[in-house]
Amino acid sequence: MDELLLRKAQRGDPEAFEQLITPLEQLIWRICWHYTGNRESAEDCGQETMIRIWRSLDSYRGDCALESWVYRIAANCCMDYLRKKKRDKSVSMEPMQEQGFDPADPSPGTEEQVVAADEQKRLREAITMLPEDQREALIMTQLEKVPYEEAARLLGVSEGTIKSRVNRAKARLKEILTGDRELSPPGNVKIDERRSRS
Amino acid sequence: MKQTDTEKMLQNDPELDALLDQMAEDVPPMPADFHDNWMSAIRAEAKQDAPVREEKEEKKPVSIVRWTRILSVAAMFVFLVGGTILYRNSRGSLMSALKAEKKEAAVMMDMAATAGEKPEMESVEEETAESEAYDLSKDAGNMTLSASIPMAAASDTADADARSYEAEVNEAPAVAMGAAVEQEAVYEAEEAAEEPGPIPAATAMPTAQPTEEPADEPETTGAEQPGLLQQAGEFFTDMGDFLLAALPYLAVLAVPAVAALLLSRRKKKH
Repeated sequence: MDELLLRKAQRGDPEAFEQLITPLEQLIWRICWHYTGNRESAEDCGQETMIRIWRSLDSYRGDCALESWVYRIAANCCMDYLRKKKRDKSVSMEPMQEQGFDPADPSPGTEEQVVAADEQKRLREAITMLPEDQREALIMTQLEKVPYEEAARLLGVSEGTIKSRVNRAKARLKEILTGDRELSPPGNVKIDERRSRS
Repeated sequence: MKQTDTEKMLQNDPELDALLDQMAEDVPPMPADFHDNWMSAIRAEAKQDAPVREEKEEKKPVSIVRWTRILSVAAMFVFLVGGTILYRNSRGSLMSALKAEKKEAAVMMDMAATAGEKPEMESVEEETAESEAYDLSKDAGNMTLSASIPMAAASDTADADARSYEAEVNEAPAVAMGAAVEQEAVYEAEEAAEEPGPIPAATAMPTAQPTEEPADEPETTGAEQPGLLQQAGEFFTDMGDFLLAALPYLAVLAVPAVAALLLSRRKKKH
């Protein structure tokens, strides 16, 4: 990281800030996507994250890597966004779809792609049902592939706590997904059968 | 930020893990206008913040970290200089007390010597001188007697000779006394040469009054006075001595200081 660039950005130079943060843009987008699962929400969260970084850049003293610091802000921003959304109305996949939920590959193609999209949809829905701490730990370690040690540092808890949260989250996801399967519509049963055959 | 194999061992449900992995990889591409959107938001924010920032920079108070640094440097300076001065003072008073004690001991020794040996010697010598004077006068008397007998017996006719001889004999005790006194004076002079400042027994008693600075210390003239550089050198030597003396206390203080530092660093990390 360029110290001079950081100083300039801290003094309020938007061009320096652009040069400093652009390499981390993709990371911020990915985090926002994993937390929200929605293109529009991810964009909103991304923009909010950038503004928060800009406002609090003065407080960055270089104690940790800029990447970690940005990650923490982005994760907090997404959690705040989801909390706010939950307050407004309960967040579920149906409303998200209504708002333009966009799975990884939205265009229905082959049957395999439909199955994958459906599974992802169910998984994402299950993730939104997890408690906040478990969701954060799961997204960080399983989707963002942040090492447990780093995740523990970012969340301010011990490594063991992160591991136990991830394990509990996984157990809960399994429960939710199994229950889903049992109650799933005929289309989903078909998918399950197909998976068991393969 | 890569996960290790042990971390991956936690992923014990292959089906769920495969789903999660797939989900992790399936991130849609960033919207094309994402960069422009956030940059325009930042520019707007920068414009809005510009006057506030300028004002803030103008009125920027000295940070607490800077104050802490200034105070710690000042405290260190006070500790070093003040400690050294105190150390010097205490050492000086200790040295003068030691000197006074030494001097007192020497005076006591002298007093003991004066009271025990010297008077005896002096009295013996006085006695010797007196007895010598007595012997001389006695000899002179004898001489008068011995001289008068032959004078009377040998020549009654030589009156002038006899008179002169008698006069000579009569003067002899006085001469002998003068010689004794002279001898005593010589002895006293010799004694005085041996001891330049004999302390009289009556005034040699130790007193409770504080002893003044010894007069035999060399007086320094303006040319002999140590230079500023030398004084500074002495001061720094004393500072070194003081630091050495204070080292155990500093070590004791350093333990909680280091512990506090480690704790604060750990807190910062979290």
